This record gives sequence, structure tokens and C-alpha cells, in this order.
Amino acid sequence: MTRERWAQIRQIFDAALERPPQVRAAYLRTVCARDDELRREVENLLESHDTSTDFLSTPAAQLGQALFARGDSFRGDDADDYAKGYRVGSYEFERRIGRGGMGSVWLASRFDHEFKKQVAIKLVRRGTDSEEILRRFRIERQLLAGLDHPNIARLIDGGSTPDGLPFLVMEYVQGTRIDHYCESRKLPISDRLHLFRAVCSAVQYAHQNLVVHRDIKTGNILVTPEGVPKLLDFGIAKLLPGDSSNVDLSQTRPGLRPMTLDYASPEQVRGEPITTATDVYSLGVLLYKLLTGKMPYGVEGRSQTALWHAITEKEPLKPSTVVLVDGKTAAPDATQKLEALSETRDSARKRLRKKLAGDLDSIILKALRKEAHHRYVSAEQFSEDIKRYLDGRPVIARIDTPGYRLVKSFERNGEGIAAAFVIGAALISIAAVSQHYANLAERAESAVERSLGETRHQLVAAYSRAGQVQQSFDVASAAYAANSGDPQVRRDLGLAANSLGDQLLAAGNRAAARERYTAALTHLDAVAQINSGDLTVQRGVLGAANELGALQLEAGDLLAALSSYSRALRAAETILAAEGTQAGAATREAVAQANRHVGEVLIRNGAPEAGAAKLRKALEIYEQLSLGDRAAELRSQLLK
Amino acid sequence: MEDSGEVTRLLGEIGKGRKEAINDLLPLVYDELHRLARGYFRRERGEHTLQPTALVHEAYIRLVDQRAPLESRGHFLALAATQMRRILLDYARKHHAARRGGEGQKVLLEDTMAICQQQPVDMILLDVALDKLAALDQDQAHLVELRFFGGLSVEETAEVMGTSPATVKRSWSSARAFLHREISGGSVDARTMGANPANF
Repeated sequence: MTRERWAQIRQIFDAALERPPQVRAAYLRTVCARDDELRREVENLLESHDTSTDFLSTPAAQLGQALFARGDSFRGDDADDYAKGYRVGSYEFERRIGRGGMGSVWLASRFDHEFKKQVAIKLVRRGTDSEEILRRFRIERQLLAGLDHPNIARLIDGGSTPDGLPFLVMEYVQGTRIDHYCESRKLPISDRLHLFRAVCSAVQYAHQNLVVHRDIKTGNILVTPEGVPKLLDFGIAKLLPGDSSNVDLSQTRPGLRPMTLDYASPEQVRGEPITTATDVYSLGVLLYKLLTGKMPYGVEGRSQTALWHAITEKEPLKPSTVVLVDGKTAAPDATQKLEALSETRDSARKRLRKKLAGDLDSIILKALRKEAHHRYVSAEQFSEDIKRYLDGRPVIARIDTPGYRLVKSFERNGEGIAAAFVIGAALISIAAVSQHYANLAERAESAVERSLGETRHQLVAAYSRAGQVQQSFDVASAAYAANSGDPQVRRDLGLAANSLGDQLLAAGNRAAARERYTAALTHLDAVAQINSGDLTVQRGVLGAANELGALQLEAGDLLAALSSYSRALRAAETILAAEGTQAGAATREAVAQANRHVGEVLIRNGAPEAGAAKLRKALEIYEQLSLGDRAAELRSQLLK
Repeated sequence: MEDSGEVTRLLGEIGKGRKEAINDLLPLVYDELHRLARGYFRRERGEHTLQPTALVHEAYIRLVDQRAPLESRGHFLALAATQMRRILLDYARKHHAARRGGEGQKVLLEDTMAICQQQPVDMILLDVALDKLAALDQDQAHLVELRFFGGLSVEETAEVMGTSPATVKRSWSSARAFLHREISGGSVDARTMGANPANF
């Protein structure tokens, strides 16, 4: 078929598609009067079009995910899964109550008991027991074992199935999703706030135990018929630094970043370190949803990109504004409730707006601040502020607003205006004083942070001198978690990661080594961009990029290897240029070696000419350095 | 982020007409996408992760300075979609090779029960069919890369290709019909040349 022919076919095909199916045949007969072949082609294409409505309609990556997540043993069905009556330990399976790509959750009961006790058993699905998934599973078990709180679904037991797959036995929570619970019972705002505070207490408890949940959302909170909310699913939770357990934190890298975008914080979206402030943010989204029935950025149904941008850039709509925006889902509770009192929908919404405006707006927006340090410092403080609101006391979310306390005292006490003015004036000056102390505190805090940073820097260096590579890396990671913006911190971490990579590689742990080298490059590159004259950093880049390139090559990842070796080459050339006439043989040899690596990969990658040029470059240097063996090797390579 | 300066600079050069900059850019984009895709493919549960459509967007956000001109965004997304095609094809090939030597084995990007309703797609056949389409109409093949491999919406595709959404929709219909026919062996060419996966 020629391009012209295809253009012709397309044109007729497009025109035919715009016509109703029943007249298409007639249309084709007319247009293709003297060209039966053309008509057949278009008919053929139309038929293909009609039988392929969903062909390519799902983006490739989504399809690919299914394939790669499952591995080969999973094709088409889930027949391999467990069945009713299956027994493991002293539990007997009843029915499946949930499933996902990773595994399933079964309702089960203990069969050795006189009274039936129901539990939920979470299992890894056969065939998906990859190292990563098993590792997550172990982490979840380890985390949950340390948590015992009335608002967290409890871990009862754990073990392995006869075929060696791990499982968790959890408290079975028979409940309703928290948002559905609120809506179906048309709970008033104050009840919703009480429920929410219970969730805060669970999160606070987890934080005190150094666990960040990272996936707080309506779907993970069930409310029991007794009205007790339970936080579930610590499947992607993470331990905070400071814990002495053997969970490898650094493996919970931002690269994998599993999360629910709707509830994700700016730092989560950007792949930055996760702290308890991340959960505070998600709690903010949760409260927003519970009180307004909507999501903060008004981007429901819009593209993921829009949501990305909104989370990192846009200010959320004020809850009190959003309930007025659109009648469909706004304010389920108050609207319906007040409608029952035969008020109009509009005035119901206005009532809700009035309730949200002011304190609740401020409280929610404080939790949703982009900068983590402007949010509530803890879930507890968030919860306390809601309590203050419920008690009619001033909330800290608004404490800086001039005149706010004055208004608050009016509301609460209904004092005379004159008296209020006097008090008001006094309060404003108190506010000014407390602002002064807040500033002082902030300055002291940053001084402490600075000296802490310096201490960590010294520690990293000391460990590294003592050859304690892992410790050096751990301290550097902690420093980075506390202050990711400081180039010195990134320099320390990059160099430490590089050394750790070397150690891991020497021990034969290639996957972990690769991960460290990748991290080392990321950090060192960032530093090199600020100061390209720091030769220690350049040497770090050279070393890490070389090792990484070799590992990638070994894994058959040619393009990645090319990119790494090119980085190594750039670093080697930078060092050479900086050393100038002082450059020693080692530096020049490194440049030659880097050229050679790039050249070899280029050749394997189908760019023989560019590759040969690099090899010649390397050859030239080897000859200058009188490295006869190397030069001979290269010459024979070039002959091929 | 890490390569933000570099990638943004290279995109600027391409914008200025220095097409060779693509050679420096490709490995950087490939790397980042590969990393993101791996993370995505290894995800564990549907609700816990980004949408696949976000992969190229995420790469964009991570690699390109957000103050870069709009034109750069188009260049980047187009490039990224092409790289996604390579990544997925590489995966499929590797997988193919891993399975019993590969003779006659189809490599399917298969849907699973809950994830989507779509028919399985043979990646390697699709790749061949797409090359065929490119020979007939480069723009249409590019469009398929953007929509299917890049996960871009109709509107975004139109923006990148500098055309209208209506044109994209029309062009998409015939491209899909063509590819579907190629893959299911409906065309004269495919029958005579034997579009048999065992050949690849």
C-alpha cells in the first residue's frame, strides 16, 4: 500500500464513519464507483473499527502492569486463590472479603473454639510473592505488632501457609466506610468532628510509635455499628528513623512511591522524604471530605496532571466556599436534614457555609498547607484545635489573625461592646507579644537545627574515617530527612551512599549496590550543579557512575548503562580540566577508560561510528600513557 | 529534579532547531521513565498508586523546569511516549525470551479480571503494525504512541501535535482500525507475509 492510497482510504473511512451505519454501504458504492479494491479496503477497515471498540483504549502502561505484577503463573483467572474451608493454623476460611494485586483478605474463624471468633486474614497471593511484596508484608507485620489502640485494627496473629506464604491475622472490623457512615446517618458536623478526632488519636498513637501510615483516606477507615472508627491497612506504612528494629528504611524509597493521589501531600507527590506531617496533611483532606463531601482542589474527574499541579501549586478552595459551588454533592448532611424542615436547598447550603466559614475553614486549611512546617505539628495538635472549636475557644489556626480573639470573646460571652473594646485592645497587644515570642522560638529552633546539622556532618565524616560505612550512611540519611535542601547534607549523603555501594558490591549484593549508586549519583549530581569545582564530588560521580554503568550493562540495560557511562565521562573530563597541567596519569587513564566504556556501549547499541570515535580517543590516551596492553586491546576492537 | 537543568536546556536546544540534542536527551528520559515504570509495574494494589497515564507526566514534572516554554512540554511528551513504547517492547521481548525459548509464544499485554475490560494486546505484533502505519502516515503512528503508550488524553495529544481534538479523534479511529486489522491478521499483507509471532 502506498502513502497516497492510505490517505485516500482514510478520507473515505472518515467520511463513512460520520454517516449512520445503515447508509454506509450505499455511500461507499457511490464514492468508490470504479474502484472495488478501494471499497473493500474501507469496508474491511470499518469492520475492524466496529469490532474493536475498546482496542488500545487503556493506556499501555496499565496493561503492562497487570502482566509484570503477576508474573507468568497468573493467567486469566484467580482459580489458584484459596477456597472456603481452607485451613491455616487454627483458622478456617469462610469467604473472601477483599482482594488486590498483591493478595487477598479472607474472613475466617477459629475452629478450635466453642464460640466462634471471626478474624480477617490477609495473604499474599501465590505467584506474586516477589521479594518486594514479601518485604512489605514483613514490614506491615512488624509495624502492627507494636500497635495496640482502640481505633486501629489489631494484629492478632501471623504465620505461614503450608506452601510458605506469609499471612496476617487481623481483627475483623465489620463496619462502614467513614464517609458513607456520616452520610447515611446524616450526622451533624459536631458528630463528624468527634469521629474525626478519634481517627486523629489513632494516627497520633502510630506516630508516637514511629509509624507513619502514609495512606490515610476514607477507604481505609471503617466505623463499627457502635460508632468506633478503625484505621486499617498499614500496607504501605513506614517506620520513622530512630527506631532500632531491623527494617531497612532506606528501601522505602520515593521511587516506588505507592499512594493515593487524592490524599497525597505535596512532599509525597514530589517524592520527598515522608514525615508525620504527611499524615497530618492527609487527615486534612479527610476532614475536608467529611465536612464538605468534596475534595480540596475541585479537580474530581479531571486528569491526574491537573491534580499533580493542584497539589503542589494551587491553594485549596475554602471549605465554606466549596459547599456553595455546585449543588450535586455538596453538604450531604446539612442539606438533606434542613430540606426535611422544608427549607430550600440554597438556604441549607448557606447555613452550612456559615458553620464552616471562619474557624473550620482555618483549621482545615492549616492542615493542608503546602509547607509541612506550617501545618499542625502533630495529629494531636490538629485534634486539640478541633476540640477548642467545639468548646467555643479560640483555635490556634487563627490565632495570628488580628482581632480574632476579640470576636471570639464576643461570641462566647456576649460582653458589652465597650468592655470588649478594652479587652480587645489588651488582647491585641498580647497577641503582639506572643508573636514576638513565637519569632524568638522559631529562631532558637533553627539555631538548634543548625547545630544538629553540624553534629551530623561531623558524625558522617567520623564514621566514614573509621570505615563504618553503614553508620555513616545512616546518619547522612537522617540528616537528609531533616534537611533535604542543604547541599552539604546532600554531598555527605551522596558520598556515603557511594561508599556503601562499594561495600555492598564487594559483598556481592548487586541489587542493593545499584540502588545506592543511583542515590549517590542523584545527590552528587545535584551538588555538582551548584559547584562543579568540588573535585571530591566529581570523583564520587565518576566512581558511582562507572559502577552503576557496569551493573546496568550486566543487566542488559544498554541505554541506562550508556547514560551512566556518559556521566562518568563528563566527570572524568571535568576533573581533567580542573587539574590542568597537574593532571596525573590516574586522571588521564580514567578519561580513557570512560571513553572506552561509552564507546563500547555505543557500538553495542547500534551506533558503531560514534562508538569507534570514543574508542580511538581512549586509544590515543593509552598510547600517551604507554599502556601497551590496553592499547593493543583497543586496536583489535577497532579492527572489528 | 536531578536532571532538571540539563533536560530543560536540551529541550530548549531542540526548540531552537538543534535536533542532535535529542541524542543526549533520550537516555535521560529513558532512564527516568524506566525507573517510574518499574515502580509502577511493581505496585501492589490498584488503589495505592498513580495512574499509568501519569507516568510521562510525572517524568515531565521531575525532569523539566516548570518554567520552560509550553513548546518544550510538547517536545518532551512526544519523546517520552516514544520511550514508553521502547520500554514496554523491551519488557515484552525479555518476557518472551524468558518463556520457553519463545517459539510461537505470544507475548500479551494482558488484562486481568479487575483492571480493565480490554482485549489482550500482543506487544510485538503491535510494534510491527505500528511501524507499518508509520510508513503510511508518520503522524498517525506518532498519535498512537502519544495516546496508547504515553497515555495522553485527546486534548493533550492535540496540544502536542499542534492540531484540533476533532482531528485527533478522527485520525485515532482509522489508526486503531488499521492496527487492529493488522494484528488480527485481517489484511491482505498480514496474511501473505505471515504476521506470526514465531517470526519475531
